[in-house]
Amino acid sequence: MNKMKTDGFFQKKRQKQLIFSLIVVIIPIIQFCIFYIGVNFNSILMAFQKYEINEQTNLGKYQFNGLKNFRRMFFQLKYENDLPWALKNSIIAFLVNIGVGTTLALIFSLYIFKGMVGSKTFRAILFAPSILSSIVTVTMYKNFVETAIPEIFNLQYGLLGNPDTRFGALLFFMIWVSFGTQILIYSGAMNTIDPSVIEAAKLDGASPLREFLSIILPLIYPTVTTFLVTNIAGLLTNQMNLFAFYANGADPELRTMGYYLFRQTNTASLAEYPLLATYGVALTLIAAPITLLGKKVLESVGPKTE
Amino acid sequence: MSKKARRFTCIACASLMALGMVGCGSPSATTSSDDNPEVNSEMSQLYVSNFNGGVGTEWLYAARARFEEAYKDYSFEEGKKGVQVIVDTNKGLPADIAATRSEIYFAENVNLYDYIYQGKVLEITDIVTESLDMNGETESIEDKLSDEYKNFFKTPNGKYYALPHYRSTYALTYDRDLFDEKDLFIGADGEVNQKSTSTSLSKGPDGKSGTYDDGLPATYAEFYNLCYNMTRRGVSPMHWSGMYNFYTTLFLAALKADFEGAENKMFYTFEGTATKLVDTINSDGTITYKAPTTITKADGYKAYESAGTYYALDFFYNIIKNEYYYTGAMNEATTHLDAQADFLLSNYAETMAPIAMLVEGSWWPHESSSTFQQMESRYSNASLEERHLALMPYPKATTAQVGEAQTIVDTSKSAAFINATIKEEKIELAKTFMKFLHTEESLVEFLLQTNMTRGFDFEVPTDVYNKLNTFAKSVVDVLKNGNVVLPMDNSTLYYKNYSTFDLEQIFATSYGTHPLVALKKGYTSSQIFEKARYKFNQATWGPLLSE
Repeated sequence: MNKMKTDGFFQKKRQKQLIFSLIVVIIPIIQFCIFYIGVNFNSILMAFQKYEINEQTNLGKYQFNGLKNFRRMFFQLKYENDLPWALKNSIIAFLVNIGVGTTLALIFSLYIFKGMVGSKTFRAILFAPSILSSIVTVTMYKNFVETAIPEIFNLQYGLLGNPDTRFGALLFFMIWVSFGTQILIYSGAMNTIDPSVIEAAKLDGASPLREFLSIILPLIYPTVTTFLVTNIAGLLTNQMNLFAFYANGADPELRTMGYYLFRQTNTASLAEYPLLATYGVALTLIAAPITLLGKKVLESVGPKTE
Repeated sequence: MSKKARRFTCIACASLMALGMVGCGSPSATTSSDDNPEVNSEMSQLYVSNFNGGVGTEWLYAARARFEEAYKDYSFEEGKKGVQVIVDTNKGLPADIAATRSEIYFAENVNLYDYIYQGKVLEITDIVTESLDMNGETESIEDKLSDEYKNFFKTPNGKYYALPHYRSTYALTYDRDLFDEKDLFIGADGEVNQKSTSTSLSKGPDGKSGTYDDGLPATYAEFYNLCYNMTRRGVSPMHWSGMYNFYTTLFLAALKADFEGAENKMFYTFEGTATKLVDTINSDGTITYKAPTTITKADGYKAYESAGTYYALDFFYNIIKNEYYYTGAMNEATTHLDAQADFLLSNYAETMAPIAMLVEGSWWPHESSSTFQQMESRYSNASLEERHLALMPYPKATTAQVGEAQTIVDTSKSAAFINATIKEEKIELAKTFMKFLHTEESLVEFLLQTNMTRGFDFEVPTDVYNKLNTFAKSVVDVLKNGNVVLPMDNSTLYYKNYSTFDLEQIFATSYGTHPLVALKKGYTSSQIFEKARYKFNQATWGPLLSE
């Protein structure tokens, strides 16, 4: 009898907990269903649709269009100059991000981790772009490279105004604004390293470079991998802050795939969405395996902690 | 973490996630304005959303006051008497206007047919085509629309869902005071040495003496000569926003349209006979034209060979080559507001050369209100009313074109319409307000309030014209002597390729979206034109026609 009472009590408690848990997660789940699954499903569906207008009722609706959007996409890839450019720029941005951005972020993080002279100020300076609104940062940067630099070096055009330097100036900005988050995470990861490990390496006569390569980097490698994989996944969606600089008017030779799609969506009519959705699907089909492969490679080739 | 803390954290997280659900709420204001009067339940309310940009909202407040007074004893809804018009402001149309409380919208830069095809806009053919029957006016709103506006706003099956809001165009604004001070008006002998009061001024682009454009450059050649004389007299000829390249692009699009005249419409309808297609550009810059060519939707790409494109590019090529611009125009940090302030203040600043002309949209004085206020507090005769700023009619590309009417591109993409979700019992009120805003009295009031005109044809009475400031007078003069072209079409071809045919893309080539960038790279007008004319060909045009 007592056992039954106890069982009933626990059953009721479990039910209450279940209800509570359901209430807590139901809204996020609904949101996830609508704004992630629903949106993406609709986007995939749209890649196989066209927009038809009924000229009697003046109403439009999406209708099945087979694979015609894909055919048109391949046609555009063949004939439009913008797309190869955008693809090339996306790859350059990715390589610079990985090669220069991540390397410098690791060096700066080490500098901060080691508490070298002015490291706190340095951290604040590098983190500032992440706190400020991107429009504010872009405006400051524009004024610096367009007004101050030409004044100092007596140039005819600023770095953004000069066609020869503007892509470089944009890459520099992209790297600069990306430091904040990376440094915060890398230096945070470095701070979790047991000081006795580093102390022991020092006692064994390890140079600072050896200490970094053999102790610190292997220990924070999972964090670095996460960033690198995120970068690979963003290869075709990175818009290099172009919208903040140029709104819809960035020149073709500056565009990345991410900006190209964002801009097109921004200026398109409803009838043009299906083609853009087709690009979205195609880019996902390219980016997903690359990301998975990149993850696998990074996990297998990186420095080991043993 | 204690059990209570866990629960609290869970609830807090769930509540935060629930914030996203506000998007599913009941209709609200698009963006709230300072206009939030207490709702009088004994009166009918009409919610009107206005794009608070270049024409501001003062015009709507003025119209509201008259409307509320005129209908204070009228009942639009059972049990209610009088009307309260509540003004919301928007900075761009929300994608889902059904989720807003606004019943009427005044919008700009809108892809109208997106909203029509989604059924978000109420059909208003009745109030557009019937007699206004207000203030003794018997003509319909449609009678006030030019064919150009009718062709766009009327759907292919003859229905109206919207009306044009205001007209705007990109042009040069020139400082008449500075022109007078430096004797920059052109004399009958072609010399740049006259004041506006001179009796021997050149005839200007309209080729007639005694008109509004006397003493102004009639051709591009005269314009270059004027700029040359300006630089010799310590004046910076032109300024524009270095940050937003579309300002110069759309100005060049306006020059192109002025050259092409009615044929400019072919870039949107892809129908007609083109008489100004380039065969070859000769070494002296003159053009050998192709024989008149019939353009159809099937081969619309041929329109891109228009000489208007070349002449506009060549105009800008000469400006850049000869450095007829203020240095800030090449600075990518110079916003349109900076350029306006430079233009306005250059006359007073000792450290900079005065600037004679500004490339801007015709609405710009409203954007510069704060600069005007600052100037008024510091200098005498510095207000818009007192300064003599005016739109310059477009000079003609060739001497042969002098005397032809101006062609003006209305770049506003503006529209006024009723939200389709309006309650049945309020439709009469909304339609009455729409009609009220299209009486001659309202159109004139709009001009007085904004220095701009709505997209309708109406005669500005002399007494009203005399009340206008110099800038507004020039707007009226230019429009009166020109034909307006809308850079849009109501065809399916245009709609399905909306972003491709956008006016900003008209000069886009692989050398640059904007001619200014291509010119900075060192390309010549001919090189850019050769790219632009073959932007499309039979192979690349085909997919635009397909489904």
